[in-house]
Amino acid sequence: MFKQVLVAQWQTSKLAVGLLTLLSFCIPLLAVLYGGDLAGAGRERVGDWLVAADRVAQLLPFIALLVGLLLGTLAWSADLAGRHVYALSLPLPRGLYVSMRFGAGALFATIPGAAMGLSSGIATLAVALPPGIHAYPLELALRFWLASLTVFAIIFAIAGASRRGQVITISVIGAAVTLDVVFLLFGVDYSVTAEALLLLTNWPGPLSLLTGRWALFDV
Amino acid sequence: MLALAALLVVCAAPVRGQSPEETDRRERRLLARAESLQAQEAVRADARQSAYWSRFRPRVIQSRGATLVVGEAVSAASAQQALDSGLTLLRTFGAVPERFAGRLVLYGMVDTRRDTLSRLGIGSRRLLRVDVSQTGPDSAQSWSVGADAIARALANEYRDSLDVDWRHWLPYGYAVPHWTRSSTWGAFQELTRTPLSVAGRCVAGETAGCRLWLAIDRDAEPFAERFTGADLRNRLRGRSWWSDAAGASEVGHACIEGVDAACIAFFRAQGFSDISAPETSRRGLLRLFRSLYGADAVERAVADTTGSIAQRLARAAGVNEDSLVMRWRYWTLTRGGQPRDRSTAADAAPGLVLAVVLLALVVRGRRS
Repeated sequence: MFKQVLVAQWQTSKLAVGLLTLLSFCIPLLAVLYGGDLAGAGRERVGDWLVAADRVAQLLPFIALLVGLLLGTLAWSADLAGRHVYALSLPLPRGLYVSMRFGAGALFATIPGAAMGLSSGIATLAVALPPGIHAYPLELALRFWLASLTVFAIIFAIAGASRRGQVITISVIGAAVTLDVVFLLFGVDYSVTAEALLLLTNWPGPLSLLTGRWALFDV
Repeated sequence: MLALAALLVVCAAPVRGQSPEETDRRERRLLARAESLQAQEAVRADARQSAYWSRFRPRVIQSRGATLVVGEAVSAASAQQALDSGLTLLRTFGAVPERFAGRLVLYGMVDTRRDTLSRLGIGSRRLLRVDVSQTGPDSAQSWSVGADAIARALANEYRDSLDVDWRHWLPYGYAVPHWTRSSTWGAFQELTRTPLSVAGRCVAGETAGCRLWLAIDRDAEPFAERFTGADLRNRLRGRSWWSDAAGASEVGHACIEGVDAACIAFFRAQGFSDISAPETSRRGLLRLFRSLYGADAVERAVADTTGSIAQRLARAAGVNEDSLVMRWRYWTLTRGGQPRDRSTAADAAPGLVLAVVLLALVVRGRRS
């Protein structure tokens, strides 16, 4: 049964998965384009190269976010388009069906992660690093995969929630934005959304993984 | 003949208005007018002078034991705000104990001609000048004192009151919290672009290199340990004054010729700074120290007078000296990055837990 769900979900997700995999593969290689032989290079060049590698690394959390967002949304797109008739016609309890959909999406999220691992490995092998600088290809790939999986799970849960759940989610976000506008009108220097974002993105916030160090080559 | 006589009579007669009485009257009138104008001008000049000096009439502002005396041109509200904010800046950074400010009287733009300040009852407190700046166009000029100026003046004065190690190492303005992205970039550039060999060793991950670069140890031979002969010769070549001075002395000449010991002797004799790291790097270390261990730790470290700078910082923070140095290296080279203290799995754990909870809710829920 999982195979059928996987195949059906692949039909809606394959373009996104393909593009994201290509992006995930190419971006770590950009870090190497700035130069490969650094073992004997001057400190000035190493400094410039570190800055360039850092700039490339800043793109990675956005790609992970994109992977999670797209795959999480696309996981339910076929059901939404067919008004859940296919899901209801299957001889499966809802819990099992949801788990299968999630499993399929999580499997697709692994593909860009694997591509990133592969290209990070290639980039690492292509560079002669100076002393004091280290490469983290495995850690980067794992971080990317876990970050995209986390975002995917959150978006998957929101998109797959009952109408009541979705209304509550949207209401909470809307209330936060409204409060911000009210604070702004009354000159209060406080932002609910900014504080919430800070809580979410600082450890132990659930999205803290997106804001740490993403550099493939680090000090 | 008669006509000639008449002409002579007419010519010899005085012209009306030129009689001695008339001339005196006119002169007196003019003189009186001039005197009156002069008096009016003197009154106006006095008024102008008085208005000018009134800007310098002292106004005493106090906050948390600190005293600021500024001229009346500076509004009381802005001076109070500047003093409060300046003290808050210092307290937030932790570099200057609060009681220190109480021992001084800050002043700026005050009329000091007639011993004004000592008549304000400042007692034995020392006077410390702060900058008062003028803002706005000439037609609507206003004077203000900045919180930065107050914090900077107090911090510099405190720095000068510390022991020789701190005085030698702490840069001026060390406690003013203007650490921006460009400062971070500056510290990175200093470390990665300087031709000094200790900086290269630091970038390569050698702790001893970083310690020498930061000059945080009481090195027995600072020049010999922190600089190579080539480093010092590069410095000579970089500045014309130094190279002229070196060319003029025998030791300096020997340095240029390649004698390393001569370079050390020359720089030591010339009173050249033996600290390798420029100010931004040292301010960066303090900035990081403050953000990691808090204002209290900074205050403890700066008040400590035992051992080297590294020992004082480590003691105040309760950490190992090398770990602090390596943390600074990471922070500088990553331009403000935090080391990977947690594993990726630990970083991901909260997100994954939330994901599982949300998923459980979806599984249990019903679409309606």
